[in-house]
Parts: sequence; C-alpha cells; structure tokens
Amino acid sequence: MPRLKTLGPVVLGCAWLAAGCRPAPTGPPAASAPEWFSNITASSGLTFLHRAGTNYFMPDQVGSGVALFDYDNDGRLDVYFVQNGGAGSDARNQLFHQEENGTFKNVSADSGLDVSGRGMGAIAGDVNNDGRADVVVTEYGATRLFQNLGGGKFREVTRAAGLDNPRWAATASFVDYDRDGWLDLVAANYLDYDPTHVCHDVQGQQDFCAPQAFSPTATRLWRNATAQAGGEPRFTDRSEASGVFRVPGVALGLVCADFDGDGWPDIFCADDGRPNRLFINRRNGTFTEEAAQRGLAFNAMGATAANMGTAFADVDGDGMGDVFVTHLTDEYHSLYKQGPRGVFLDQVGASGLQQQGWRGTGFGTVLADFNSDGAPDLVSANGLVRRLLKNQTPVAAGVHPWWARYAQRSQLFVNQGGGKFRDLSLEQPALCGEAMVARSLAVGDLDNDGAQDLLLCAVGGPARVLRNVAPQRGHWLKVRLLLPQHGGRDAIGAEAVVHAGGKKHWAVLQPATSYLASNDPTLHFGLGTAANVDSIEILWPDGGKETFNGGATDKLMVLKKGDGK
Amino acid sequence: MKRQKSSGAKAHKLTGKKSSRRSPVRALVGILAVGICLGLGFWILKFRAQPTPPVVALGLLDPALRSLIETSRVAVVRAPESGAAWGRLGETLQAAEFFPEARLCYSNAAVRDPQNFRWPYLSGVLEQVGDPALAVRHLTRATELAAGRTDSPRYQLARTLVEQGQFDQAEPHLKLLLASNPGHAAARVELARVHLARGAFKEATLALQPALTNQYTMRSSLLLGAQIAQRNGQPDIAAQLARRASSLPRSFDWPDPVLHDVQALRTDRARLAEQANRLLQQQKFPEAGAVVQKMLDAAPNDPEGLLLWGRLNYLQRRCPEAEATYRQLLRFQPDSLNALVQLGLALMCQEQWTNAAVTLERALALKPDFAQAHGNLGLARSKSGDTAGAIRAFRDALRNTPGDLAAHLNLAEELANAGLLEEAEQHVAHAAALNPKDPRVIQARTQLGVK
Repeated sequence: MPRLKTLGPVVLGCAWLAAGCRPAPTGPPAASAPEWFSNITASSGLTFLHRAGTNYFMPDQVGSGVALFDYDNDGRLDVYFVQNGGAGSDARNQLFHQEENGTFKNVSADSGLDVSGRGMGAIAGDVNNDGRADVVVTEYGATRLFQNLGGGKFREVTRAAGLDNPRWAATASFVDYDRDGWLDLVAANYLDYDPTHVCHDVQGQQDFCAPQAFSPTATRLWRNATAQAGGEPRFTDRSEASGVFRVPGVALGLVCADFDGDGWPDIFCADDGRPNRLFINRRNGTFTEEAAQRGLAFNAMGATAANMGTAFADVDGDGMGDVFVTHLTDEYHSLYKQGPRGVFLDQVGASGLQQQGWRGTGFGTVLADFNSDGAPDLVSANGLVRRLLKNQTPVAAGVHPWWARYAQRSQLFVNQGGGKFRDLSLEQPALCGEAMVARSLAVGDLDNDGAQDLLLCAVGGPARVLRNVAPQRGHWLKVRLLLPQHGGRDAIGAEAVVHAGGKKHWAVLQPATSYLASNDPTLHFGLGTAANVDSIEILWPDGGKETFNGGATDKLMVLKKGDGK
Repeated sequence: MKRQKSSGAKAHKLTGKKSSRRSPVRALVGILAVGICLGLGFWILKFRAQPTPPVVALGLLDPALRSLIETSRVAVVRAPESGAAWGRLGETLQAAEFFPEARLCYSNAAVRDPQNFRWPYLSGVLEQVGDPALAVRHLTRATELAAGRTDSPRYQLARTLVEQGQFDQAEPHLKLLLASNPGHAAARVELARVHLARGAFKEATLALQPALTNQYTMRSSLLLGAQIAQRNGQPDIAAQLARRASSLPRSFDWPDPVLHDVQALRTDRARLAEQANRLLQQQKFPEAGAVVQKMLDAAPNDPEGLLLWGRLNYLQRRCPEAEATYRQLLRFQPDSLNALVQLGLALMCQEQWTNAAVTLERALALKPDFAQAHGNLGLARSKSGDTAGAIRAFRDALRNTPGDLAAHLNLAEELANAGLLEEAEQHVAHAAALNPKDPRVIQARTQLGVK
C-alpha cells in the first residue's frame, strides 16, 4: 500500500500524459448548490410530446411554441402547446386546463384549438374586448385566429376576421399601435423558404439550410377593426400603409413595446442572419425603421448575427428596458443596454454572459427574477441548428434519436446586480442537466406561489415543466393590469414602476417575447429585502398615467385603469 | 533528530520511503520502481513528441478538400517533427471545419516551430468565441512573435479585447496599430467603438473620419457614425448615415493574409458556387463562366453548377441556352423549384408565354407563397391573353408581398383591360402612395386619368 501511495501520482501523471493532457470531457452538471428548479413534468400532468419530421425540412427545426394564459378566467394559468406535424397530421395542438389542485388536464378534444399544421408559435390576447383571451397560432403558410367563445370552446375565425398571411409566420405579437383600445396584430414573417433546396455542410453531409440561402419577407401588421366589444373580430391589413413592409426581414424574435420613450409602442424584430429591425411608431399609423442608429441592428462588433429569441427587461435597474437576443453556438449573444432613453449599446462583453461553462445555440430566452432579489436572471433554451461533431450528453429521455444529434443543454445565468451575470448552469440539473433540442421557453407563476416557473419546449421531444424552488427567495409582488373600459382585458403594452425599498423596479406587460411563446400576462417583481411597496406607477397603453398605493409584499395586486390617482 | 529527519527526507525523495535504514532489497525495489517510471515517462514523452495526426471522416468531403487533407496528413506522417507540416494540416482541417482537430495540429505546430507567429495566431482565431481568455493568450503570443512584421495578430487581439468589453486593454494595441499604419481603417473603427462605449462621442467621431472613405470600413463606419449621431442628439444626421450605409453592399472583411491562405484552401463546389454568384452579381460574366465551368468539369450534372450556368446564359440574353440548361437539370431533378422558376424566365425571354405560364404554375404548386413567381405568371398570362388569369396571379403576388409597386401597376393594367376601372384606380393609388415619382406610376396615372 505505501508503494502504491507513493507511485500513485506518478502513475496518474503518466496516464494523464498518455491521454494527451486533455481535460475531462464535459459531463452532465453536478449540483453542488441548491437547485433553482425542480422538474415536475410527470406530476403536473403536462405530458406533451412534440413531433417533427426528419428529412431536413427547415420548418421542422424552427418550431414549435407554447402559450401560458388563463382561458377560463379562473385565476390559474392554462397551457397551449403547438405541434408541427403538418396539416392533416394526427399531431394536433393541445390545450391543458389547470385544475384546482394544480395539476393539468388535457382538454384539447372539441376545444376548437386541437388543430394540426406546421405550427410555429402561439400568442394569447383578447381581440374583441369581451374579457376572454383569444389565440393566434402562427404556421408555415398561415396565421390563424381562434376566438374564445367561453366554456372552453374556441372557433377559428381567420378568414372572417380578414387575416390572410400565406407566408411562413414564425413569431407574432399583439400590440395596440394606434392606442385606440383594441389589440392589433403583428406577424413578423420568417424567410422565403424553397422546400426543394437541399443543403450540405462543408463536410458534405446533408443538413438544414442556413437562412442566408433564402430571401427575406415582409412583416405584416393588421389593425383591429372589430365593431364593438364582444363583436366578431375584424382586422384590416395595414402592412403597406404603415410602412412595415418596406424593410423586409427574417424574423424569429419579436418585441412590441415602447423603445424610444414616447409612450407609443414600437416593433422590434430579431432577424436571423440579418440586421435586426426596429420600427419606430410615428404616432400617425406609420412606422420608420431605425434599428441601426438606435444601436439594435448589429452586435457589439457591428456584425450581423443569427438573431433568434428575445427578452426585454431592465437588467441593470436604471428604469429602462434592455434587450437580450440569443445567437448560435459560434456567436455571442447580445445584451443591448438602453441609455440614454431610446438608444442601445450591446454590452454583452462587460455583462459576464460570455463566461460560460459551455456554449449554446439559444432560442427561447427569458429575463425573470427567479430568486426575487430585484435583478432579473437569464435563461437560454438551447438546441442546435446544425450538427456538431461532438454533441452534448446526456440527452433527455424521450428525445427522438434523429433529433438527439441537435440536442444541447440549456443555461441559467444569475444576475448579481447591475446587469452582471454569472453562469449557474452547472448547479442546475433539472433545467440544464440534460440536452434537448430546446426552442420555446415560457415563464409564469404556474402554481401561484409568487415564484416564476418555466415551461421548456423542444423539437422532437417532450416538454418540461420546471417549478421554481430557488432557495432564499426575496419578497415579491405580482401585478395584474386590467382595462375595465375594454372588456376587462389585460393591458398589453402597459408599463409599471414599483417603488420599494428605495428602489424602482420597471417592467412592461408584453407576454409575446422569448421565442414562439406567450408568457404569463401577470407582471412579477422581485423586491429583495423590501417588505413594503411604497407605490406603483402605471403608464397605460393609451398614454394615461396613474399611481396606486403600495402596501405589503408577497401578494398579487390587480390594478384597474381608472382606480389609481 | 534533526539530522535523521533530513536524511529521511532525502531518502523519501529518492525511494518514496520514510527512512533509509530499511533493508537493501526494499531500497533496490524502490530504485527499480523509479527507474521503470522514468523509462515509462521517457517513452511517453517520446510518444508524445511524435503524435499521430488526427483522423477525420473524409467520406463525404468534397474531393478537392479531401485530397488536400490526405496529402497534408501524409506530410506529417513523413515528417512528424516539422512544424510547418503540422500547421499545414491544421489549416486544411480548419478549412473543412474540423476545428478540434485543427486546434490539435496548431498546438503541435507551435511546439515544433515555436518562433512562428502563425500557429498561435490561428489557434487564437479558433478560440475567439469558445474560449476568449485562451484566444487572448494565443493572440498575445502571436503578436509578440510577429514583432510588427504583420499587424494581423495585434488587430485580432485588439478586436477580441473590444468584444470582451476590455476597452482599456484594447486601446493601446489599437494605438500601436495606428502608429505603425495610420491607414489601418479597421483599427480606427474599433477605436471609435471603444470611445463610443465610454461615451466619448467627439473622440469616436474623430477616430472614425478616415475610415468613412475606406472600401473595407465604409459601411461599418457609417453605421457606427449613425449610432454616435443619434446619441449626440442628431437624429436626422443619424438617419441619413444609416440610409447611406444600407444602400452600400456588405463590407468586405479587413484583409488578413493568414486567414486568406486558410480560406483559399477551400476549392469545393460550395465555395465555387459562392464565388460564381458573387461574380454574376458583379456582372463579371467571363470570370463567372470560368468558375462555373470548373464546377461542371468536376461534376457535369451538379445542380448548383447547372443553375449557375443557366443563370449565366440568361443574364447574357442567351435564352435558348439557358432553357436547355434548366431542362437538363429538370430531367433528373423534376421538382427543382429554382430550375422551374428560372426556366419560366428563360421561356418568357423567348416570348413563349404559354409554356412559361405552365412552367411557373408547376413552380407555384411546389411553393404557393412564391410572390415573384406569381408576378411572373401574371406577366406570362397577360402576354398570352389570359386577363382573368393574370389578375389572379397579380393578386396572389400582392397577397404574398404587400407593397410590391410593380404588382400593383400590373394588376391595375389588367383590371383596366377587364373594365374594372375603379379597382384599377385603387391599385394605381397604392402604387402612387409607395412612390409617387416612379415613372411607371406617372405613366399609369396618365393612362388611367387618375390625379
């Protein structure tokens, strides 16, 4: 034994030399600190398996998404998953209702939402001001509107509503761009795909085509022309008149919010392999594209990159929204910090986000304060678009073997304050431990415990429900913003500033961010040690401002326009 | 005790035992063990000194690139001590995107050719995104070795530092680059980026000025200038600069002889197709023809090559030759959308309107949202006297691409022919809203009597 002890290091050293001094291959993350998420997929009842083809048809690798919304107004979030099996396929979109005990029940049958198609994303919003959230589904070749009839029933009204978009629509968003109290609709179309075009990688193997192989397409904007509250939804095409068609793009990410501080919502498109576009609202029904001069078109080095998922939140606590855009494994993500108002600068280099345990191709992304310390953290849902020689393992159970070649592990970065992030992925087995072809990522408080949970969707694999179990969470406040004048619907586009503990916490109500997703329409504010809220300022979508009294934290506040001061 | 301890420590060093006052046999065993280990270590070091070159799957690789890798690999096997051979193999592997293997080769090249900046330089470039800290170390070493003979390593080092937000560390390198070469426009752009990040707009503008006229940096300088102007409260100037930038073609990368060497190793079909496309865009037809011919010599039925050959003919108005080429391609790829659309154009060019319409209809069956094909189908039907069909096609074109001025005017004309004057006027009005000064709009307004 003493001999072994003595020779041990020498033998080990020899073995290390013989192995070529290479570091150990990256294995699954090992939790050395408390996890922030627990995988509750099995117990939740949210069993959804995404289906996608395996013949390099490009729409297969782009979708599909998920919407979190409360379709029956029972105060609990329901879930709508989008499938990608094609028209006539038995792979149909699925609607899950959250029961009183917090589990989910599949209520797709006869809901009217159990449709099939080349599904991409889904967004929820009340388009006819009847107080019930309707649903828009984007597809390869269509943008479909489903009116919520109540009682868990939906009816497709696409054609009757005047919506016609034969293009490949990836991402969509509701926005009241003319501030008339009715939700308008933006569909930022993806590329002009040629399904007969076959692509190979440099090494000669067939693989998915890159977006650069195809032309960009025009973004579409429809103005809501519904006659009266509760009436049949009607839209008129304003793509041409508004000017948004003038600068075509290849959008995968979309954020409709006020980017220049004038109180009117603008349209930001994250374009895949092309400069991003920012359509600034001229307040007269038209838009001008200003991404380049406002610092949002290119990355920190002035280059074009594969822009995909988007998140919009105040990462550094300066009261202004910052934009995060995900990119490919061999590119850097972008963190466009706003300041002064209306101009942005990609400061990813100084943010700590480039120091990562592993690199990923990010799609869905959210900036949410998971530990409620007052600074939004970052999650990137990862999955490749072209095969790597050495894939990440282990691959999550249920991922189709063909798609496993594109699997990657997702990532979590904790915001340490001031927009400085640290990679926490190694300590997160449930979220980051297994590789998936992750795409859509939605955030919301599924169990109404005041902590932000996650729903992760993947191509050719099962969705994953991740309950927030972050330790030592701070105080929090949830704020629901409603417009009683407009059927009591969510005030999409409203901005809120919560004053607590000497700090200001800013957020905008825009559920349609991340990637092909619709998030919880209730705002969540992490407040750290602040046990009381001083006040809440709301800038409503019509430009009106109100202040509401604060009070104790750790609760949901429902604020209605007209009730404030 | 003191002496004993010292003696014991010495013996421990030699034999791995705690005391020298053990039996001679055990000491001998210890010596033998050390000897064996040293021998093993020597053997391993010898083995490591002559590592085998990496093996990659070449099966599907383009023949030209495959041959290059094989030749380079043989050179390493023949001369494993040659840094140049390892480096060359690394370059061929990098060109074929076998990045981990290329890294290994550069590392072996750097050991055997330690004074050559090229190997740490290429290693650094490979690590720029995956491991920026390692990239900085490699590029710093390359910069030292280059000793001013080439500015590529220092420039890439500075860029990496800027990208990491390490502006204070990047600035001296950028100033050194500009001191030795005041015309280094790319360094000026990066320096301007550093100033912009610090909020020093005046310095940023000054740094940028000379780069605004350089062909490599004109576009990026204008874009950076637009950002500076917007931040400086000059939105009109910002918009003007952004418009100018968007009217320019994509910037070329700043010349880098080392990276150029690596890129030049790629002579595969995909790279040739890129070259040919670029030349066709520049209307350099003889040069494009030579590149396409090279593709077709290697593979006479290469679809990409045939498409380019057809395009080359079409652009030179050799429409029958273009038609023949597309038909050749469609014989073995009947569902090639691109070939069908291009064939449609080649037929239209020969005024074979009905045939063109049929071909374009086949294309649209494959891709019903192909706006350009709808527009061309409208023209073909119009010319063949199918007014109703043309109206349908132009409507479909607009349905897929709103704001298409030509489609609005063409549709207006067909509607007018069909006697639908009111709707025709609406489309002329649409076109006028898009661009009232367009001569086609003015002509249409005159013809229809629209104010």
